[in-house]
Amino acid sequence: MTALAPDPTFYPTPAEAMRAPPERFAYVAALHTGTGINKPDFIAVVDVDPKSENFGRIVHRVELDQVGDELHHFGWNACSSMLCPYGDPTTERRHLIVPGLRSSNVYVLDTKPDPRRPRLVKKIPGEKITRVTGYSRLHTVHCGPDAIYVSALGGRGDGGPGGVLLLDHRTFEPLGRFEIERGPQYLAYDFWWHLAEDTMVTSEWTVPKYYENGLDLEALTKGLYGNKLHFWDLRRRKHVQAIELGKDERMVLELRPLHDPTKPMGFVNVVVNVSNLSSSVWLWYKEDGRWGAQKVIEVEAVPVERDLLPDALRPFGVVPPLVTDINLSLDDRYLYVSCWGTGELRCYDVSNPFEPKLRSVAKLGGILHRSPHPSGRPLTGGPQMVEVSRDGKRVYVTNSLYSSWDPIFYPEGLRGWLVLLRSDNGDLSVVRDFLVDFGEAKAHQVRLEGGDSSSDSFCYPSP
Amino acid sequence: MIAEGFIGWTVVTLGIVHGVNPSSGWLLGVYRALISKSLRELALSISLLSLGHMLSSVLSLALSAPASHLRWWTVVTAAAALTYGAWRLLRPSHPYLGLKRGRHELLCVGLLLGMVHGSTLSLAPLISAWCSRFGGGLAVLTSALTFTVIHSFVAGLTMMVAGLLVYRVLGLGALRRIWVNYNLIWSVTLIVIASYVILSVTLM
Repeated sequence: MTALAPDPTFYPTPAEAMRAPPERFAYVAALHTGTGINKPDFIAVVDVDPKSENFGRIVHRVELDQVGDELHHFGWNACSSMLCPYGDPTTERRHLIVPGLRSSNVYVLDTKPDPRRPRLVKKIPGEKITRVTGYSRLHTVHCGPDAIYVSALGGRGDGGPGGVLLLDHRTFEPLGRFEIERGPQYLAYDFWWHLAEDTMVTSEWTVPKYYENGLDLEALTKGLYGNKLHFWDLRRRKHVQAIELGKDERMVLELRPLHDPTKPMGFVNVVVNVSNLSSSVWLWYKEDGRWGAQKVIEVEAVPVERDLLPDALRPFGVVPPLVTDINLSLDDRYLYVSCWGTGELRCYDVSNPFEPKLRSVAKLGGILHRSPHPSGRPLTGGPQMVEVSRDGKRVYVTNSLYSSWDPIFYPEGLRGWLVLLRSDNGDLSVVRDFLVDFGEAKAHQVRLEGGDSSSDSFCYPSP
Repeated sequence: MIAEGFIGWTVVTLGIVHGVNPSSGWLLGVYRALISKSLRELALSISLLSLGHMLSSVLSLALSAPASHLRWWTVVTAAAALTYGAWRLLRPSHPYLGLKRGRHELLCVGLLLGMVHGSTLSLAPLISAWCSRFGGGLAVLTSALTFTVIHSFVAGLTMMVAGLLVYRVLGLGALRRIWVNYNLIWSVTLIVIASYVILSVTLM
């Protein structure tokens, strides 16, 4: 586990990471939870090497050892942050830390010696996680310079507070909760950080009792879904500041800080504005020692005939864009925005983060567009989780949001897929001969061999 | 019986080995220089961190000198060094000390880094052995202090050279090649020194 020299997939700066060799494998969280199939979830290994005869195929599946984990997000045990001044870069990037969003179990997969066939080497039961940390429903995993950080949506029951917990770098055992002083924070979802600012940022979805059994419209209208960003002192583990994005802006999800450590700012998506069902992307930034945030992208809902809408949306007569995931290229130039409702993957040029410019749009599935794949095969659901290769040229997209929410928006059913797009300086085109069909299983987060645009953080600015 | 030459040369070697380790502080100096785009920041940061490191070495003197006429104390400090070395070998840790530090805090950071990475404990048994051999006294104490200062100076110089090389000549990409497993080196060094001191003191 500890080598003599630094892991070759660690890079001190984003610019150097962009010159890394292209990924050969993609690891994809695949679920049977909520599909009616009584089988464990699995991590699928997809061959993404265009020179390989298996290009675009699932070449291996790592099955988990029980039914109903509900895989969602996952991450690496170690990454480029190990090259930070206090890190230990001889810790290898080899283990995938895979939490169950429903079970709170943590699975550890070893991608060495054969990255094509990872092995399940450890399971930490959810009960143990909750006993040690007081948290449940584990979500985002980030590799810190000192430990593995994991966000959790729930507390001991089906309420809050959610928060962040730490796992030991080597044993993967839970160390405890991150927060020493949590201030007003109660809801949790995603987290990331500005290492150069000693700052952690966290976002808000809601507590398990309002999301696990489907979208709770009453809770949504009552304002029980989150609308805040929280900023924390990463070293002192204290809450520093909360920013409310607006009374109607609900479900503040994916956090994408700029990779350049000299720029303390980042993007976050808001899934829905309850007054008009639009979605938005906000920029947070540091100014005169305080954090601020402003809306920089708004995607409006599209009116359509009611017959074309699923029951849940008929009263509104519109297709909400449902921006559920975003991803930022390593050079902080292009922001990819998934509109899961309408069926669009948008690319914005964010060279000036305060004024994003729409660069291109690719249509995939969706309630509105129902666009097939260029190969002619139909696509159920819409673009949801999006991941960008380190060189910024390939974009991977899957289509499932959450097991109990998918049927609300896509009642005709959803077959898991993984689609590849090329990005030619932000100009998106769907790759015709790459469409991975997961069958009855659903596909969620994608992680790329050696790291991707949302896995690594960097302490040093690009030259 | 522990050899005088051994202590002298070990103290210098330890300075180099400690200074060259990126985690000992020079990388923090390079980081600060890169963020502020200033060579002056590099020199200032590394100087302050080295001073902190010197404090951690002086701490080892405080730990070893007062009871240095007692031979068993040498064994105790060596045993502590041995235990710490073994612990770091088995459980390598690297605490998050934060990057947003004022310049005035660097002295403390240097002190902490020196202690965490075993500088204090590696010197203590050597100094203790040295003092106990000559039965304590002011002259011995002075030479022990000299050892400590030499060690710190060598470590500081090494840090400055390493920091300058990476900042000005090699570039950050070099981190991927030159950063070896210093934790392993340090742990083994601690164990070897401590074992040698224990053996030479108890078998003399």
